[in-house]
Parts: sequence; C-alpha cells; structure tokens
Amino acid sequence: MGYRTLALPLLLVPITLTYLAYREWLATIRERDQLREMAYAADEISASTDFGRRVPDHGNTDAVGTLASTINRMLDRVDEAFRRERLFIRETSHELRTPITICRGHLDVLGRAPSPAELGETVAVVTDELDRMARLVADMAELAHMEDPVSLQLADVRVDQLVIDVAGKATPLLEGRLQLVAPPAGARVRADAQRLTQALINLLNNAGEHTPVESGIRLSVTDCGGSWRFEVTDHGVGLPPGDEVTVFEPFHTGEGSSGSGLGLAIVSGIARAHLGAAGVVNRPGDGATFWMEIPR
Amino acid sequence: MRVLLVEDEARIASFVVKGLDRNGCTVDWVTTGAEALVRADAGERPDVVILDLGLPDIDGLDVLRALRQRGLSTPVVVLTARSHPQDRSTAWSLGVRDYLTKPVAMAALLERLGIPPSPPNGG
Repeated sequence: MGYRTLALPLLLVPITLTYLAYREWLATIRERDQLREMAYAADEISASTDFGRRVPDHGNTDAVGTLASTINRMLDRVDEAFRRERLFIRETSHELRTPITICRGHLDVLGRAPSPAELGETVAVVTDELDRMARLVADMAELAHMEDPVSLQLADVRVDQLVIDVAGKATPLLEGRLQLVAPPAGARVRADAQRLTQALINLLNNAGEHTPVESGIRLSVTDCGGSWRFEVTDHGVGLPPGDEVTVFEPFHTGEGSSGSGLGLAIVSGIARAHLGAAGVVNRPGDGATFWMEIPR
Repeated sequence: MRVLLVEDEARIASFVVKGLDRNGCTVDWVTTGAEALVRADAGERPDVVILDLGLPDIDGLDVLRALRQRGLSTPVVVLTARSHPQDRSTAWSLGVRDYLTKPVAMAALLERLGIPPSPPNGG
C-alpha cells in the first residue's frame, strides 16, 4: 500500500473529527442561546405576572426543547390556577354584595322611630341575610380546606354505619322522603368520616331542593371493585343538558336553589381529596343521580 | 317622579320601593326583563328606570339594548352586583345615566336620581 493510498483516509479522520466538533460547537451555541432566551422570557413572565405568556419552544426534541415544553405546561397550570382564583374572588364578591345590600338598604330606610312591627321585620331580614353570609363564609373556608389533602383525618370507617348516620341526619331535612340502600354489613373505607358525611349531606340537600316534596330520594352504596360508589338519586327535573360538569363549579346555582352555590363544589373537593371523583348521571325531565367514588 | 324598578331580588326591591316612596316617587316594580319590555311596548314611559343586570330571564344589558332599539331614551340607572369593567363599559356605551354597584346607600341612590332626600320621618 503506497503513501498516497494511505493519505486520503488519514486526511479524512481529522476532517471528520473537526466537522463533528464544529457541529457539536454549533449545537452547544444554539442550546446556550435558547436557554438564555428561555431564562429571559421566564424572568419577564415572573416580573410581569403575565402567566398567559410562554417561554419560546422551538419544537425540538432535545433536552432544551423538552425543558421548554415542561416549563410551558407548568405555566399552563399556574395560569389556570390564577384564572380560577380570580374567578372565585369575583364570584365571592358578587355573592356577598346581595346580602350586604339588603342589610344596608333595610337599615337605611328604617327611620329614626320605627314601629315595633317595622323593627321586627327589619331585624328578621337582617338576621336572615347575616346567616346567609355566615353560611357562604363557612362554605368558602370548607372549600379552601378541601384543596389541601393534608387536612383530611383519615381513619378506617365502616361504610354501613356511615350511611346510616347520614340518613339519620338527613331525615328531618328530607321529611321522610329518603330511601336507604345500605351496603353489605362490615364494608369499610379509608376516609375522613366527617368529610364524607358532609359530602353526602350536601348531595341529599341538593336533591331535596330540586325535587317535589312527594318525590322519593335514594341513597345507595355499591362496590366498584377498588372503590365504593355513593349515589344519591332523585326524580326531579334533572339538570339542563350541558350542566353536568359546570354544576360542580363554585357558585353554579340551579333554579330554586337557596344554598351558597358551593355545596357541590365541596362534594367534588372532598372526593378529589380522597383521590376519588364525583359526577352526575343526568336524566333531563326525570331527575339525576349524583355520585361520588371513594377508593378503599 | 315615576320610577320603573327592574329587580328580581324581593328584599332589595322592598327597601328601594320604600325609600323612593318615602321621598315622593311612584315606583312600579317588575322582576324580569321581559316584564320591563312589555311595559315599554305598552307605552309606559317612566321618568327613570332602575335596572338590575343579573335578571333571571334576560341579561340586564340586553334589556337596555332592547329599550334603546325601540327608540326609548328614558334615563336608566344600573343598580347591580356586577362590577366587571366590561359590564360598565357596555352600559355606558348604551347611554346609561349612572352605573351603581351594590351595595349602595339609599342616600347615594337618591342623589344619583336627582332626588333631595327628605329627613327621616320617624318611621
């Protein structure tokens, strides 16, 4: 093999290495620039609190591209959390304005020497509206607790005993309309008994408010393998089609509801805090079945 | 002064009616947007309309639009729990006389209506 035959491969080795090193250098420069661009955008987003903005994502599948899409997904969640918080504050403010207006207005027009009847009427209205505000504030605090699973007092709870207790508490509210389908004796769930009771009472109250007084309401518990499914079935008018998800959002109030508009949001929060879920099977014109699944 | 009050919350309407009545106004109260429009179509022309926006049937801003489309230029004072700038802006663009956000003191409402408040009459 002659010198000239060996020269070409020998020459190709340093050229290839130089080319690879050059390409790597270019990639490093590009990645460094993209990282700088991302850091700059992230700083701007943080300073402006404009969580609708996103860091530049060039759609690459390399580490920098993956980092950009991860940061943007995180910003999506932050943005959604802020949006929900703003909405919640706006709705809360709106809900409090009405009772405050009523109290203020009725006191404004009371006059300096009201008759006993007028005074009694005003005191009754103001007291009732203060109760409405107190319920709203209590429900808001409850909803905030639900966002924090650490607030749960988990224990080994007997499901059959729990629903019997719930039925006992709900009977006066539902005036004998409640039918209980109890689970098998000895059924157990790892849960916060007080929260579960509250969720079921909220579901029963909701059913009671939206059904005629002569209509029955059924509370049942069934075994769904890894979880227990609690169902409250009524035969009222059901939900307007399309309301099946929004009904669980804060301050969604149905026709004729006298509650704070947080009852079903609390149910959903309690189910999620137990790593379960809540939902509704809607039968417009024939009622609805609200359910809550709690893992064992 | 003849006032048409469009307000679905009875407990708010009751004190507004009482306060205005005590200050020499004649108040006609309806609870829905549809009723307000029926009154307008029947030729009723109050001196001022007090309009809530969160009505059960038609949004108050749509009631306002419908009144304007009918060529009615009756002064309208919005009295609402809604404080969003978009609502305010839409209401002003439809020519409201004032936009009051609940809660509002009776004295302030009278002032915006141009009614000098009479001293409390002892009930």
